[in-house]
Amino acid sequence: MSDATNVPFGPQHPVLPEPIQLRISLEDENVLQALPALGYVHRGIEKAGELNDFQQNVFLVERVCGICSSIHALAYCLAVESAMGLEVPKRADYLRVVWMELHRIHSHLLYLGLLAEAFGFESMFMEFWRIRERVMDLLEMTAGNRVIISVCTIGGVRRDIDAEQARTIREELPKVREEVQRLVDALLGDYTVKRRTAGKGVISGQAALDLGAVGPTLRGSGVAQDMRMAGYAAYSELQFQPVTFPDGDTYSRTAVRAYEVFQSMDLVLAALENLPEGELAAKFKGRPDGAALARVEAPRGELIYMVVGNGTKNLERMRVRVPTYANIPALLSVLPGCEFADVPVVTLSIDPCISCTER
Amino acid sequence: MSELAAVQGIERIEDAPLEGLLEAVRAYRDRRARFITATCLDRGERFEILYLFDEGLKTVAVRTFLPKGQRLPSITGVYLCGFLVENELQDLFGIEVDGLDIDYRGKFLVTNTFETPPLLKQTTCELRPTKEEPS
Amino acid sequence: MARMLRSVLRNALSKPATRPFPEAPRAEFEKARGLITFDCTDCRFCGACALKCPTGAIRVVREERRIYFEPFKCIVCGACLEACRFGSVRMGPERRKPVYEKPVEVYAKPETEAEPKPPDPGA
Repeated sequence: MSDATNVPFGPQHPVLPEPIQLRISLEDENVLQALPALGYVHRGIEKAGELNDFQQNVFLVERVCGICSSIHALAYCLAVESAMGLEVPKRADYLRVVWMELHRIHSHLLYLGLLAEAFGFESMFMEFWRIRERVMDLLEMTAGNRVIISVCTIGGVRRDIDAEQARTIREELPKVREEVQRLVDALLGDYTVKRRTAGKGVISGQAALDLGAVGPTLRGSGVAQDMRMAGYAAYSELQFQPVTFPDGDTYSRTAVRAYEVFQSMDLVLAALENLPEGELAAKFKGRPDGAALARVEAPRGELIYMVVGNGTKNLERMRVRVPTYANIPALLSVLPGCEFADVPVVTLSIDPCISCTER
Repeated sequence: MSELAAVQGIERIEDAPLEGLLEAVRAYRDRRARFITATCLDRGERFEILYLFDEGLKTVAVRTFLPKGQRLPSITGVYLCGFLVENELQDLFGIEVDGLDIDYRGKFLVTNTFETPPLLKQTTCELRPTKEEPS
Repeated sequence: MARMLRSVLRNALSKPATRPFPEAPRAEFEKARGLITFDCTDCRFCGACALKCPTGAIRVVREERRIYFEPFKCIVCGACLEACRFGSVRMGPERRKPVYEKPVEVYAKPETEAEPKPPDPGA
């Protein structure tokens, strides 16, 4: 290690807008070792979750992540509902699917744009984000906010999608799909993009499982594991197949996300098609007494909430395990052997969200 | 000194004594279960620590009890990816972990701004600092 | 070449994808979450809104029959709106404009004061 050059990568870096520092030892241009230094944005949300009222926590956990915010609220609500033995109305289940999948679309479009920017494809970045804006408009039209949509509540949802709005979504999504298709063809078919991503940061399926990787990182290595297959909310009644790519490199992880955008659009349309009539939220009395764990599929992977109630309005413990947290060991294992110029692209390929990770 | 009776969403909880923890975890490793995370609860005199594993979309757990003041054996020899969560236990609960592969020595997420580790029950903090009353 | 020319022509002739922002701001959606205001005509000062507020932006003082609202603590979640049984909390689609100071808004019943008191500078 005496010849190694140590390069701090982040927390301020032009292509990594995330507060993480990777301490990278280099030999010539090759990475020998990478170690993360976290702790820039720890906010103590798990402690705050113990001090807050369990109903107010819904708004707190939404602010864990800035991109997959409402999926955090869904996971928390699912955990509390199962601790309280609460039955959610069917319509609420379907509406949750609609919003969560719209969320996934905009999160994946954000990722695709950022990845394009990371290897210097700036016009692609702007195109992706221009389309993302139309999905955000759909979210704002139905839920009132662009990202932190606050639709989930314990027992159901807080807002409804009426026939008029459902029609708008049905008309808008095929148009968005067409545009995304054009861009994805350009992104995944391009020679330069392939040279920058294919074969970079390779992790095998077994290694990814051993390191606890989740979500697109795992599916990009050919392991078909998607928490939506467990069938929370209305996913058990909707048909879908997890998207997998076999190579385990940056290209595969990107392709998984790109095709998941289309899958999510299909799910939104199917959920709107089968939207049952009924109540929006179940009434409940009492306080959570008992423990429950909920696992959902956030855009970045499997998200886990565990709540332990003690019969009072405050929770005994609220545990959050976010997807990036599980993907960091996988990232650290693929970085050695990469060239230094590929480090930003490979790091982005797990779609890191550090403010989630530190909570 | 209570303990979790059952957790909705976890298929089964297997109790392991502290000295048998590594063997119990290794059994899951041999079955190719995916390590999810560990969760710690402050139970007064002792900690209740759950190691969660994924077996084909089902969640299973290994539970151990750690009396306060004792050291916890590290599972990083079995599951390397456990280093993040064990560093977190050191930071937020003040548990000392033995044989940690990558050890941040309690400065992983927080620096020593707290007198006691933040997630212990004895640590209290005011959620909303009260402002000057508007007159 | 022909494909490129087509793109060039399309981009040259089509409208820009963006809006000239400060001159032509986007119209707000009907259901957008925006400004929270209080209408104290029917308010009983029960404090349900303050109890539900996750950030503690609302303070109801029953004796004074006043509501103190800190708009810059508010996260516009709408929990107060759902908690109120008398329809005293209103939410409009407009967003709050940036300001230099963070005032505390004071609302009271219209009988006692003609208008909501302007933010107290000494607060």
